[in-house]
Amino acid sequence: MEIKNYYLLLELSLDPPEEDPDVIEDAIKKKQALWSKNRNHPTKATQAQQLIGLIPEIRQVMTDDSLRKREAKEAKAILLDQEKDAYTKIDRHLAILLGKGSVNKNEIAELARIDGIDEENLQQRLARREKPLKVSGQLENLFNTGRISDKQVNKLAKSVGVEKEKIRTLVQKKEKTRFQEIDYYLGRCSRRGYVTTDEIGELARIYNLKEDQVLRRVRCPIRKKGDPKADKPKPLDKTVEKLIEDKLTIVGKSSLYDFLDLSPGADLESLQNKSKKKQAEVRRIGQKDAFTTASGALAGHCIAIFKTEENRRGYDLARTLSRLEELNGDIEVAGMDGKIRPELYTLLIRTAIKMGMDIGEAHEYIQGYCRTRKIALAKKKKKVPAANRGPLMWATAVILVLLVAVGVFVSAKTLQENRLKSAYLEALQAAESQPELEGREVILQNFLKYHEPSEYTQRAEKKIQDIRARIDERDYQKVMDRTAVPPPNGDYAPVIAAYEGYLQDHPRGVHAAEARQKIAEIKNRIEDREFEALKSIDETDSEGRIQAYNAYFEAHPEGRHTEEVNAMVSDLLDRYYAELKQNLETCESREDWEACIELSNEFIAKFRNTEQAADAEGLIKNYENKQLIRSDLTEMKEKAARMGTDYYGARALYLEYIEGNPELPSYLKRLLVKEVKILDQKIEAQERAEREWEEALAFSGDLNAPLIDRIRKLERFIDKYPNGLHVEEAGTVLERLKKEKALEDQRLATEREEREWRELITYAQNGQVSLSNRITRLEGFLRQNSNGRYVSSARTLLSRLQEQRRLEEERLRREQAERRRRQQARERIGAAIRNSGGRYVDNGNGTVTDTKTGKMWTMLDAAFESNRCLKYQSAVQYVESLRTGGYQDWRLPTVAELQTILKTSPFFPTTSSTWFWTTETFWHGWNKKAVIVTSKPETRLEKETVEVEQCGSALAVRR
Amino acid sequence: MSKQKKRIFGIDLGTTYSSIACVDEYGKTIVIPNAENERVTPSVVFFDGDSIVVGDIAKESSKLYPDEVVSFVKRSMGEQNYIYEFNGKQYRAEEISSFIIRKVVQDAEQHLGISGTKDVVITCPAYFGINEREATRRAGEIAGYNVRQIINEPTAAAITYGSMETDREQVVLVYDLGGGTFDITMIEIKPHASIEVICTGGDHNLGGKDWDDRIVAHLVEEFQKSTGSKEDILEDPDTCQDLQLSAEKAKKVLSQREKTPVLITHGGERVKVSLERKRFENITQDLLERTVSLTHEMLHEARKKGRDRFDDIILVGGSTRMPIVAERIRQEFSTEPKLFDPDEAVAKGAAIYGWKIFLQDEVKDKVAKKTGRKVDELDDLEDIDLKDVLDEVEEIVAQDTGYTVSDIQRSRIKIQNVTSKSFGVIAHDSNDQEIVYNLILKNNDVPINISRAFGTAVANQEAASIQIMENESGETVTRPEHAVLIGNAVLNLPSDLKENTAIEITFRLNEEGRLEITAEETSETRRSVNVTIETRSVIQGEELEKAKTRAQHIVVT
Repeated sequence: MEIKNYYLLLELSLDPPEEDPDVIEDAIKKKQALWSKNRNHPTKATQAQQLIGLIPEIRQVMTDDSLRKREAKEAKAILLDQEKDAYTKIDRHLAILLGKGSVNKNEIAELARIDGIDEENLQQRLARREKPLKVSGQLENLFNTGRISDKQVNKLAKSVGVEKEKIRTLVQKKEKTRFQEIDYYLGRCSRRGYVTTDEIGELARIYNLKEDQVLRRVRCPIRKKGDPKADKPKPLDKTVEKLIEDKLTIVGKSSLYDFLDLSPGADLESLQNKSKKKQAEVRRIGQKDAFTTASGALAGHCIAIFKTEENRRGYDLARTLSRLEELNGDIEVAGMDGKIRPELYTLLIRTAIKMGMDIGEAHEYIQGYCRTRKIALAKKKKKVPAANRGPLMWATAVILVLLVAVGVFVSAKTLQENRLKSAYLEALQAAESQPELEGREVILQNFLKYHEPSEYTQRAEKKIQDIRARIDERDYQKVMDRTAVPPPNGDYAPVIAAYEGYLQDHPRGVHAAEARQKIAEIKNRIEDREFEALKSIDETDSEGRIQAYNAYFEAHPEGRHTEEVNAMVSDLLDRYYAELKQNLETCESREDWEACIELSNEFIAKFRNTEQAADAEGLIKNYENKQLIRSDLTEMKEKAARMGTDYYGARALYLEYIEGNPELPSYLKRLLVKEVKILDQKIEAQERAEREWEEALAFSGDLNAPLIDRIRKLERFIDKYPNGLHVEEAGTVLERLKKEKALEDQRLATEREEREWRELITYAQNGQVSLSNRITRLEGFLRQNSNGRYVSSARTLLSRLQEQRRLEEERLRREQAERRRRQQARERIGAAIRNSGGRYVDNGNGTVTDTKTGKMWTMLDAAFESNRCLKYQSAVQYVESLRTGGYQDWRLPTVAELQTILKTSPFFPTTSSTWFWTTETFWHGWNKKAVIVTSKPETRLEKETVEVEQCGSALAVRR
Repeated sequence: MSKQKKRIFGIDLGTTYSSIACVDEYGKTIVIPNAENERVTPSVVFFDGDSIVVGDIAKESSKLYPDEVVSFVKRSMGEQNYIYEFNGKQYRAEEISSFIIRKVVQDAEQHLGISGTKDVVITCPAYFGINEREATRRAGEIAGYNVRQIINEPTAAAITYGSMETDREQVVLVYDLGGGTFDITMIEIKPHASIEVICTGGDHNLGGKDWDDRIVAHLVEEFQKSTGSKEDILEDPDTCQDLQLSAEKAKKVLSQREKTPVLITHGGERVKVSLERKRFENITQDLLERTVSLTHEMLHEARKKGRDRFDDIILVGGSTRMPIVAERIRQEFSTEPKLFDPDEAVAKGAAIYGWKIFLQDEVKDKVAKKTGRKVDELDDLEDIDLKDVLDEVEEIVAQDTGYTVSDIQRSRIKIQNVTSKSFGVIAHDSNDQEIVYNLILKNNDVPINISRAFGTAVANQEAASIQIMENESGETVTRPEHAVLIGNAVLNLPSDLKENTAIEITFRLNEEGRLEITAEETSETRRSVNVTIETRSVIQGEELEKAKTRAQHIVVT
C-alpha cells in the first residue's frame, strides 16, 4: 500500500513534528519540482503524476493546524506498523539460528547484514525473545523425532525453567498448527484437482507422521504422478510483472484478481469478461490522472494475461515466485555457515509450502538457490559414480580392431594370389582330362575369361594355340578319310560338302588350298556327267529335253558345253515360238491381257536366255501397257466417283485422259464420252440446286420476312436436296432460325406474361379498389398460373393484402370495442354526475357545470379523449385548441379549482386517469416542474409535483 | 503594389519530435529543415545557463546535464500543478513549449531567408480537451505569434492524404501513434470538396515513449539479474537518461532488425544485453492491445452514427514504423494498413490548412472591398449571391499571388470536425443527487450550439454559477467523479428578475474545440446575460503577460 501520509511524503521531521510554514512550503515546492521532473520517468511516471495531483490537497492539509497535527500522529503510527512487520521476519530468522541451541556473535553480525537492521537492535531483540524462541525450537526438534511424551515435556520444562502446563499448551498449539499446515497444503491440491502419492509421502516425512495419518486428511483424488507440463507453465516476464506490481501499488490493490474483484480461483471466462468490463469502465471515466491511467493499463494487462489458461498460470506462478524471494533471506540465514542441516532444510520446505509452493517446486527452488549461493545441503549421501575405466578400454579396443583389420587385409592379398595359381593348375588339369580338344580349349578360354590378367595368361594362351593347330590337323584328316572312297552312286555332293565343311571351320587352315582344288575338280566331273546325260535324252521327249537343258544351264551357267547345248535347243525353240504366236493372237482379240502375259511367261520360262524369249518379254511389256490403260479407266471412274459432286472436275478428268491418249480403242472412247454426258447432266442439276440454295439463303436472311416463312423455305430446300452440296449449311441456318423463332416465341410469351402481371399489380395496389376485390383477382391469377415468374411475388402480395385485410378487420373490431367502452364510461360518468345530488349538472354537450362555483368543466379528461397521455406542453396545447360544447375559451385549471372538484365531496367522477396538470409551474435548477392533483377521492390535498416531461392528463375548465 | 506573400506556417508540435512546413510559391507543400539541417526537431529543451537550446543539441546534452533538460513536455500541457524549476525560476509547460515553437519558426525563417512571421497554425492531438488546447494556443502566443487555428493532428494528416488523392471519395481510419499520444479517427475525404471527421477516440497517455519505458524497465531488470544487485539504477539521473536514449535507439533498430545489442553502464559495471524483437513485442503487447480496443470503441461509436465501413487505414506518427503495429492491424481488421509519411504528414497538413486560411483571407478581403460588406460577415462564402463576385475575385487573387485559380477554388475545402469530449454542467437528478448533465456529446459535429434553460431560485438573484465539466462519457448523464472541471461560468444576472425566471444558456463549441457560453434571460425583454468563464489549468491573465514578457528577453537557439 502506498504511503500517502504527507509528513512522510514531504520527508519532514516527526520528532518533534515540523510546524514552520516556510519549511513546509519549501518542502512542498521541492517535491513539486522533483515530481514534475519525474513526470516522464520510465518507471516512476505514473506515481509522479499521482503525487503531483495531490499537491493542492497537501497544501490544504499542511496549512491547517488541526489537520496537520492529525497527519503527524498518523505518520508515527505508520512507522510503528512498519517496524512490527519487519520484526516478524527477523524473529523467524532468529528462530532458525536458535534451533541449534545458541547464537554466536558472528551469526548476529551476519543476520544483521542480511536483514538490514543494526546489530545492537538485533541483540536487544534476541535478548527479549531468546527464551520463547529457544523453547519453540526445542519443541520442533522433539516433533521431528516422533510424538512428544510426557517425560519429554517434563524434561524440557525443567531445563528451561518454564511450567509444565505452559509447555503442554504450547505442544498442543504446535500440533494444531502442524495439522493446519498439512490441511492447507491438501486444500490447495483441490484447486489443482489431485494430490500425488509422492506428495503424501513427503508430507509424512516433513511432519514426521505415518503416511496413513496424512492419507486420512486427503480430500481430493490421488494420482501416481503429477502432470509436469500442467504444473510448470512459463512464468510471466519479469519486466511486465514489475510494471503490474507498480501499478497495483498505485491503485491500492494486491493482485490482478483483487483489481478485478474476483477470487484467484475464478475461471478464465469470468476473468476475461470482468477485464473487458473493467476496461470499458475506465475508459468512461476518461481522466488523465495517475489512478485512471494505471487502472487503464492494468485492465489492458488483465486482458492480455487472462486471454489463455497458459498465460494465466504464468501469472500465478510469477506471483508465487515473487513471494518466494522472501524465502531467500531464510535460506541465507539457515546456510550462514555454508551448510544447511537437514532439520533446517525441512523447516525451509515447510515455510515454502506455507507460502503457497508445491513440495516439488519448493525442493527445486531451495536447491537451486543453494547451488547459486554455494551453500551445501547436508543430505543423505548419494551413490558415487563408478570410476571411469572407460578410456583405457576404449583405447585397447581400438588397437585390437586396427590389428585385426591389417591382418585381414594382408591375408586377403595372399589368398588372392594363391587362388589364381591354383585356378590355373586346376584348369590345366581339367583340360588334360578332357577327351575332346574343343573341350580343352573351352576350359582354358574360361580360365582367361574369369580371371584377371596375370603371369598365367600368356601360358594359357600359348596352350590354346597348340590345341587349335591340333584340331585343324584332325579335321582335315577326317575329310581325307571320308573322301578316300569314291561315292557309290556318283553323288559327289557329300564330298564337296565335307571339303566345304572343313573350309568353313578353317578358312585359313593349313590344308585350305588343297581342299579348294579338290572341290573344283569334283565340280568339273559332275558337269561332264550331266552333259552326257543330256545328250542321251530321247528326241521326242520335248518336255524332258527342255527341262534338262534348263537344268544344265542353271547348274552350269559358264559350263564348258554351253554352246553345244544351245544348238540342241534351237529347233525346239522355233516350234514352240510359233505355237506361242498363234495363241497370243487369240487372247489379243479377246483383249485378255492377263492370258497373253501368262502364255508369254510360260514360253520365257522354257526358253530362257534365247532371243525369242527376249521378244516375248517385249510383248509382255505391251500387254502390260494395255492392262494399265484399262486400270486407268477403272481408276478414273473411281476418282470421278470419289469427286462426288464436283462434276466439273470429273468431267475435266475424262477429257484430259481422252486428249492425252488419242489412240484409245473406240469402244473405250464411247464409254468415256457417255460418262462425260452423264456428268454434264449432273452439272446442270447441280447448278440449279445451287441457284435454289442462293435463293433460300438470301430469303433466310431477310429480316423483313416472317421467321416462319423463312424456316419453311429452307425446309423445302432440304427436302428437295437431301444429299446436296449445301445440306449441312442449310441445316445450320435452319437450326439458327428455329432457335431465333423459339426465342421470339418465348419473348412474346414473356411480354404477355409481364403485361398481365403489371395489370395485376396495378390493380392490386389500387387503393380505390376494395381489398376483397383485389384479393379475389390475385387468387384468380394464382389459380391460372401455377408456375411462372411472378408466382412467388403474387403470393407475397396476396399474403400482404390478406394481412392488411385482417388488420383492417381487427382495427374495426377494436374501434368498435373502444367506442363501446367509451360509451360505457360516458354513461357511467353521466350517471354519476346525475347522482351527485344536484352539485353537478350535465349540460348534454360534453360539458358539466359545477353549481357550487359556477365553473364549467369538460366531462371527460384530455387523456381519455385523445386516447393517450399528455406531457405538460401538449396538455396546454390541447386545452387551447379544445372546442367542446362550442366554447373556445377552455384553459388549464389552477390547483384550487381542481381541488374544489376532486378533493371536496361530492367528488367529480373521473376516468382511469390518475392525476391532472395544473397551471402552477416552477423551476428546480435545470428542471421545470408542475403541480398536479390526483384523482383519488379524498378530501386531503397533498401537494404533489412532477417534471413537465412526465405524461399525464388534464381537465379543461372555463369561466 | 508588390505583394509580400504572407506565409502561414504549419507546426506539428509533437511530444518527441516537432516539425514545420509551409506551401511555397508554386503551391507545393514542403517541410523546412532546421538549423542543423534536419527535417524533424526533437522536442527537447536545454536550459544552458542563461540561454535556451532546443533540438538535437539539447537531446545530446541530456546525457551530460540530465537535470537541465526537459522532454515530453506535451504530456503536461494543461496540467496546472506541473512546474519545471531551473535556476530558481519556474516554468509552466506552455512556456517550455513556446521555446520549441520559437526554435522551429526561427530556423524556418532563416532557411527561407524571410522574417517577420506572424501567423501560425499549430496541431494538437484530436483527443486533447479544452485545457490542453488552450495551453497549446497560449504556447504559440507566448512565443510571440498569432495562432490562427489549432487543428487536430489526424485531420491534418487527412488533409495531406486527401490532397494526394485526386478523385476518389473514401472513408479512412487515421491511426496516429506518436511519441506521446494515440489518436484513432474516422475521416471521410471528398477530394477538393470536404474533409469530414466522423468519429474520434484515443489516449493522450499512450505513445512511443511508453514502448521506450518498457525497454528501460527490461534493461534495468537484466542489469540486476546480471550483477545480482537489487539497486534501482534509475535513481542515478545520468544512467536514467542514458538508458532512455539507448532504449529509443534500440526500439528504432528493432523495426529493421530482429535483435540489437544494448550496453548498460552504471557504477563502473558494464552489462551487454541482447534485446530481441520477439521479447520487445512480448513486453509491450498490452500497449498495442490498448490501441486496438480504443479503435474498436471508436468504430462502435461510428456505427451509432450510421457508419459501418471504411476503405483504408493510414498509419501516421513515427511509432507506427514498428512492424508489429501494421501486423496487428492487418490481423484484427483484415485490411492492409498504409504507412503514410509518418513524420511529415501532420506538419504538411497544417501548412496546407494555413495556406487555405491565407487564400481565404485574400478572397474575403477582395470580396469585402467589392461588395462593401465587412470581412467578419463573410464567414461562409457559400452565399449564392456572392457566387459571381467570387469567380471574379478568385481570378484576381490568383494573379496577385501567383497561384492557379483551381488552387484558390480548392482552398474553399470544407473541414468538418467532431468534438472528442463531452461537455456538461453539474445538475441534480430527481433524488437530488449531483450528476453531470451532458449538453454536448463527444463525436458531435462541431461547431455546435446547444441551449438549455435554467431557472433562478430566488427573486432578484444576482448571480448564478455553473460548473462546466469535461468528460468522456457518451451518455447524457454521468457521474461527477468521472468528469473534469474545466471552469466555472459565472452569470451576472440583471437585478430585477422574478424568482423562477428561466435563463437560457447557450453552449457553443467552435471548430477548434473552444467553448463559448452566452446567456439570455427569458422575460419579455430578453436581455443578454454577462458570462465570465474562469479556467484554472491554463496560464492566463497576469501570469500570461509575465510569461510573454519574459519570453521576449530569452534567446532561443
